[in-house]
Amino acid sequence: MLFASFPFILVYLPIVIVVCIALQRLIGPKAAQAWILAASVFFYATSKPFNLVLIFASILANWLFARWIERTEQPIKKRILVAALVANVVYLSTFKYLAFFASLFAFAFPRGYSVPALPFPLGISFFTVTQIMYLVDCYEGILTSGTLFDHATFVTFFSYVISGPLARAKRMRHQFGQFGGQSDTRMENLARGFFHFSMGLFKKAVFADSFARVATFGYNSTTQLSPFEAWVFSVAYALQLYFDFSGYSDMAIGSAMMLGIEIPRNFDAPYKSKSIIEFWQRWHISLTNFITSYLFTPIVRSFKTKSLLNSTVAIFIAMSIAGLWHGAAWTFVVFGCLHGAYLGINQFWRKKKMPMLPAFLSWLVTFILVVIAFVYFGAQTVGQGTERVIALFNPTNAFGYRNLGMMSVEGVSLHIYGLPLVLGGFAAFLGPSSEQLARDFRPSALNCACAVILTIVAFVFINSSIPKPFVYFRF
Amino acid sequence: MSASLWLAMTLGLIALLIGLHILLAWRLDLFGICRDPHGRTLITSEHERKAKYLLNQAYVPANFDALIIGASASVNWHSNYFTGYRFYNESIEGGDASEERRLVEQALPQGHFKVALVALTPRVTALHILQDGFDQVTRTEVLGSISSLGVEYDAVMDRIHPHPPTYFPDGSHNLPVHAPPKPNFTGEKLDPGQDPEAIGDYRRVVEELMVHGTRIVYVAYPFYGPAYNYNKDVIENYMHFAATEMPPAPIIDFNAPEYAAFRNDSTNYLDEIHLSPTGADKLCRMLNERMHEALHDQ
Repeated sequence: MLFASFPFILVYLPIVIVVCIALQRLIGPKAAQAWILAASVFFYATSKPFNLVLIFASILANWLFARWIERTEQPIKKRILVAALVANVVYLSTFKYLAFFASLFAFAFPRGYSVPALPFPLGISFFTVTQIMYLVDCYEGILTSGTLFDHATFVTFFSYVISGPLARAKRMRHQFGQFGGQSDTRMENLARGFFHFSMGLFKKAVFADSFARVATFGYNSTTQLSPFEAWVFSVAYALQLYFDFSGYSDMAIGSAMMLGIEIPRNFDAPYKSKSIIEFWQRWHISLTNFITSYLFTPIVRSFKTKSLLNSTVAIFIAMSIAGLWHGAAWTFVVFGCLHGAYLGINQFWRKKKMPMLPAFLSWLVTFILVVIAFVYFGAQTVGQGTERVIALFNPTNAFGYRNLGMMSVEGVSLHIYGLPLVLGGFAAFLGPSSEQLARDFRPSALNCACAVILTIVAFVFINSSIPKPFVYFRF
Repeated sequence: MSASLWLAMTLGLIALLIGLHILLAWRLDLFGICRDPHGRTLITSEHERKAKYLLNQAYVPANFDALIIGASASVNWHSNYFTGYRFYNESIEGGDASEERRLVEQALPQGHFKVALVALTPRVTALHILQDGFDQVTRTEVLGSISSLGVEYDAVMDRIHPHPPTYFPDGSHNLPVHAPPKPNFTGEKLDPGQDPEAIGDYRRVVEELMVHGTRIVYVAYPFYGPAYNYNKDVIENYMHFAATEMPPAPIIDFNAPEYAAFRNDSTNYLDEIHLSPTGADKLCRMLNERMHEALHDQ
């Protein structure tokens, strides 16, 4: 079930909220939590019921590992943690990376034989990572293993189970008594949550899908793109990604807020960043936190000496792993490596106190580097990504626009998508983040008009047989 | 304003606006889906694909007993030149065989079509792209979607500022008129490549019509004289290919020598294949005669 679909918005979400509030008020917090667990299981099962077996196997195994860690002393405790982490990586790799890694060793297999790619359960990357964080937190004594009921509720919560944000158990579990909200803040949470959800819905259904049309047209073009066109289509893809994923995150945060639960924020106007370090503080923030705490820091600690070079190497390794986390393809590895290199250079620049660029130039360089990395993110192969990057800098026919001219003929009707494209561009580069808007939310007539307009226009787009699935569903 | 009042106002307004639009859409029923479409005159607009898809579900089967199947070169073939049958023109701009099949399949379950004129031209089977979200159209789009709002907007604007109709209830529409092609105009060289999937779709739509008792007459679009000479090999190969690939039925070939006078008259054309209003009128009259002869001989 997609967030940006009528079954979710008009049936699932209202029923979940109304019943949850009723149970919280009439029976108590445990009943409300049980309802959320049941609703989340149903939500997850709608994709493929068999996936429930896989996610519950992972939940049970990790909970048992956490209990074991809790009851054991060093050095056994550390060995159990390592075993649990290895088990999670193997579990994730079996479904997501087995065929990819096997292809690296194709020479070792009989001729013509290849390891089939297994269909992986939705959100496996997300729920595996959240449980890795849970295990490490239990190991470090920040968190108790809790009950299986709490752990299952934490992992399966429908707001983030499929595409994040990556939540930490220690930030979530203490809120489980508040499912359905508390009487003094319930209506405010509902209003603020709905406002946030409507922004996310609009970003996904209107902005992301409009930019997707342009990017898809450009990348499917059979004729050579001029550099001007290549930039237009690459920027369109970068904006599609941003609105797609940040829209999804807004809907996740909004729907959780309507239930009285606060989940981590994920985006903070990333295309306004003036450095790559700042970009990662604003883009997929929950993943950045995971990379920093659970990849970069342990790698740095593993070096015997602390130096700028070691730190740069650690960033590069951490970002390469993060790149691969996005998908089993070299394109994602290149994406991660590029960002690892960018971050390394950025860190070096800062530590050596090299001259600061003017603000606009800093922003422009950052954005150009981000777009180049996203070119690989969206490509089918590294070769295709490289061709597209070369097209960005091809000196011949610099301002050709033949393909752009063909767009409207091929169904990218500018009288429909033109306004969303322009508004989306302004929102991404100049507007405040939806997180900020939701934080500043006050129940006013203006906000009411905004929510109504955003929702209705998004409904029209959803009902127009053009929606695309979330890009991040692949991960 | 309290949060509860805000929430009530917001949700209430959304429900009210959606409800009002559903009522309006039901009242206008621009695609003949909500109410009985018999005897109504419903037109398409720029949102031709989705409009025709939805019109074919009830309006076309209820009001027409013959079809014109083709691409943009036949969109301005108006049915008033045809006698004995009520033709609906399924042609769409930039359309291909797969899109035509999808349209006709909407109408077939309820329709009883006696005759179908099926265009033969290399371009119609060169691709099988379902454009404009055409592969995912649902009936709920009638209640409020980009295309339905576009059609509603056009309908309202037409009432405010009436102008001579461009789109017609028989599915045909006028093409923008401009100067005729120059005497040596050839247009682009035709791609001889044919798409097996598109050909399969075209063959199947004809077979499905035949199963429903529809009599088929193929019509080869007339190319403008110089363009025909420029592409003669491609067109002749294609006609041979079509004759072997498509189910057998009479063919009216407007590229045959007896129509050379028509094809060499540039005033009949807008470009190498699209006919001017004069050309379309002349062709439809000729086609009506040839069609009756072909059906008589069958």
